[in-house]
Amino acid sequence: MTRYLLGRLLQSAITLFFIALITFTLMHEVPGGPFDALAGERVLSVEFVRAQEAYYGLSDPLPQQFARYMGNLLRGDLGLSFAQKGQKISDLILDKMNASLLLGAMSFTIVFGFGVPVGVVSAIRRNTIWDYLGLALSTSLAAVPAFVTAFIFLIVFAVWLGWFDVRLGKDFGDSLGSVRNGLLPALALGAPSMALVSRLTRGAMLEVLDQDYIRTARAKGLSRGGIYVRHALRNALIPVVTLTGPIFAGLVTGSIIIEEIFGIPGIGSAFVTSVFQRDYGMIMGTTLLYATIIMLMNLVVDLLYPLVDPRVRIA
Amino acid sequence: MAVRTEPLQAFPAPSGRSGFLWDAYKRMRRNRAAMISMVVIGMLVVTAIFADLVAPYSPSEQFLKSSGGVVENPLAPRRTGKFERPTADHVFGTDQLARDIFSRTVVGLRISLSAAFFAIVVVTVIGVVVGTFAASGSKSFDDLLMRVTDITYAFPDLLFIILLRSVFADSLFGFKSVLGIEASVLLLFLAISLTAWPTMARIIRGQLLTIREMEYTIAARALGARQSRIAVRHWLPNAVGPAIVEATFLAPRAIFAEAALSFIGIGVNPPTPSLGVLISEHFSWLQINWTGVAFPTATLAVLFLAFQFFGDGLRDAFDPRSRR
Repeated sequence: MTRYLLGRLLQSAITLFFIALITFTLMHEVPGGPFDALAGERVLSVEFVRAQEAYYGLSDPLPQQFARYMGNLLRGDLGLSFAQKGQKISDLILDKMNASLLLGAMSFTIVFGFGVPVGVVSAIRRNTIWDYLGLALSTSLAAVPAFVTAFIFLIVFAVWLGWFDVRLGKDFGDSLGSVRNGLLPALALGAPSMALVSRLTRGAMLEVLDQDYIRTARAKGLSRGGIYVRHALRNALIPVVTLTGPIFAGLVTGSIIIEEIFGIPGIGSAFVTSVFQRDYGMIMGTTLLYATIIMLMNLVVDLLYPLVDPRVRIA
Repeated sequence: MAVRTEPLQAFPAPSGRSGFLWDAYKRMRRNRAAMISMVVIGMLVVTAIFADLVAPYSPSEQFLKSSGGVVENPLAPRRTGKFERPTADHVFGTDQLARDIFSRTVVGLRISLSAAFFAIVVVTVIGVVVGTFAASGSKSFDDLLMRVTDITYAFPDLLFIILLRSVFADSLFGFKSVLGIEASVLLLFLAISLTAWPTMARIIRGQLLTIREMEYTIAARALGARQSRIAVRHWLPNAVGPAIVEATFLAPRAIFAEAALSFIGIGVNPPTPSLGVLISEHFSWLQINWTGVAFPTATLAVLFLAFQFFGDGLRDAFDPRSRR
């Protein structure tokens, strides 16, 4: 077990190293430097730009810069931002992470809070109008990415009904009252995953309901509700549980476009800005954070699997 | 292109056409949603190919109306030709520069579908070559492929595409356009393809490794078939199913990536009217004229739904056991 865990962690570290290397190389290949971009607004003298680059170590050879970055990373230092003067990248990311995590958590709740019940009802009321309705809805939602759903929501709820402001996300994550503004973005972000979860739950539930032990429980005279919840759902949830990790990672790291559309000040929109500003530290920090979240969530699910399904053992 | 297997003389040939792809098609014909989607995709592809004939106007033509100096009713809204609601002349209305939205959407459709086409071709070619090498070549090459896929799975797709797209600003190795396609568009397509090929390579590799151990391979070999004949007649038709399904599902992903990146301003550069550019341009005017966002969005939604149902249908047709 410890051996397995150590192996996986080592593998993740190697993957992370290569992701850092690729990002670092690509980002320095992007034309223009962090101070050229700033010069769009103010005219900076060549001497000043050179001095700044020397100060931040940008005039050193790239391999040396990369080695220095990785060394600092190991000590937990992500460096300084070029765009926000004197701000530490770690502080900026923590600050922006609030909105993204809150959005991801809301989406996650919607995905499983609605996806699982819809799947269960579809399975119990199989081949009725409810089943077909659920299936039609989930197939359509799964096909259309959050990007499109978001615009449909905006046109219907913000323009036609006027319930929300179009840039409704601008102070999302600041206060508890702003949570209401996150409903629409969270729903749009989670819709495809919700559809996936409901379809998976329905399939697993149907399979379990055909099992002998369900017939036995029924023959013993147990109530239908008790059978569905205590016997069927518990086993049907096994494949669903394995999806929680990747879905959470997908929601948190996949919100770039949703954040841009609704104007949510999260980590995704910060990444887009940092590419435009050539804010090297921010680009590296965000990419590594996202990759870590994805790998960590996959690891958590692999570790969780034997707990929910005793037949599976970690080799 | 149905691959036909010649039956041995001892067994009478089944009546009618047979063969792997033909059988799959027969199974899919029963799936109504998939067949309708196939027709829809076909129609959209034809529209995109003949976009210049379908679009009533040039995508950059402006239909400004001057008020003629004399204002008859000062309280009536000035008719400038901008932000027109849908009319018979402009079925999708006009935009902030008084351009015809329908014509622009049709040209945008062409860009979206070429993104899909480009991604499918590039990913399939790289995937088949690398996958075959991994299945038949050395162990170290196989390991290398596994590590590359690990990295691709952990690297957030969109971040990678954004970075790669930013590296080459507007020219591809000095060329502003290649074969009449703008370099910025081509670069975007290339970036999308680069995130997707490892999955395809893994699928091809897995298929080949499984098939190699199948009884029919051994049977064919026992009957004295040459290695090349086994590969072409037996392996290819059986490996091709999952690859075609994967390729079909690549289309919506490429279309999404183009639209999403153009929306945030890192994809196709305006004034080229891709669907993402159209949505992005009209987004600022959402409160004034929502139709400008609605029509390109609806076009995207139709594309996604059609490819999804078609892909689902293909998967069921190629592997009848996977049916729910």
